[in-house]
Amino acid sequence: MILKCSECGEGVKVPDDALDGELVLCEVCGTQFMVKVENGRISLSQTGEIQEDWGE
Amino acid sequence: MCAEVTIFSDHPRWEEKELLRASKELGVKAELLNIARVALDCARTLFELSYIRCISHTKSQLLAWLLSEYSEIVVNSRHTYTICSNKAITTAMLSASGIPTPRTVVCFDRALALEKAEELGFPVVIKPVYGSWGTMVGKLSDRDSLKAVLEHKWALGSPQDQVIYLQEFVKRPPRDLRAVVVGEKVVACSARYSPPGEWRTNVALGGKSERHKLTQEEEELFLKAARVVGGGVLGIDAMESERGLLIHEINPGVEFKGVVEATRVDVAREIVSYLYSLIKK
Repeated sequence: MILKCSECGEGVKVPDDALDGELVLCEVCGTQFMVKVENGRISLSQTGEIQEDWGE
Repeated sequence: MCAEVTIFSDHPRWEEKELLRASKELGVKAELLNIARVALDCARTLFELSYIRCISHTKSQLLAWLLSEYSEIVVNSRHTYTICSNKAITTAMLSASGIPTPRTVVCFDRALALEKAEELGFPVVIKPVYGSWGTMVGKLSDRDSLKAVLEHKWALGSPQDQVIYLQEFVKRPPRDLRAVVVGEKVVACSARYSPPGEWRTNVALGGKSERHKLTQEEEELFLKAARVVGGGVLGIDAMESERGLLIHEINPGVEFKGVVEATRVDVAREIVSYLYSLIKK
């Protein structure tokens, strides 16, 4: 699925098996989004940069 | 209780999808919960086995404590999360337990840090105590570089930035070792090579992995390090130095895509089998 990047207007690739909360990047401008799945509807919300405490 | 294994995640990755796939194949009832959609209510919430897989160390550590109050089993334990979510605590525990680890100094004052860096010798490595993926890890060649980085850290104003973690720069081949420990077993091990133009080896930075065969002695060292932090499911990193293997990081929310690609081991299956064995004990 391709959704529109709210920053640059290009298409953001969202994997078919994307899960609620998954992170995706706009390959054109690098903006990071979080996939939101609500009532079967998929949308993107901006998450900002990698957080200081993120890791594995 | 419906699910046998409840996976708590903030931002599911390839690994969480793999865990769901393996659970299905093994006939283990597993559920993935996005923590943004969950309000924990001590009076009403009960989980059989909670497996915490958030990329936020702050949230993982807190969840480990909260879920301990209303889960039968929590992996990794709150003890393990508290130690491994903070590099300073991990290093102190490893060192105190006799596990070989790079020489490290933790301090809270810039002038003292400069003095201690001279003792460690330049280049010196500076790391934030939280986070991983190599983020904000720096190799600083001299006193002036360190002074500038410390000034920047202080200007950021976060209390966490005023914890200074300095480590000797270990002479090693351009790779480190990543072992995935599940319970009392090293299930897979890879050597991770730095990408071109980079000294850090993190897969998140583009490092490449290849299968690595551990000696029995090396395997024992990884297992001993796992036991020191309370065990569970861990990604343990080591460097090959002139003094032998040095354990330098233990990751409680291990990402295993790189090691799976290098070794073809079904790590997710190993993890789910382990979790299920805990339920059946």
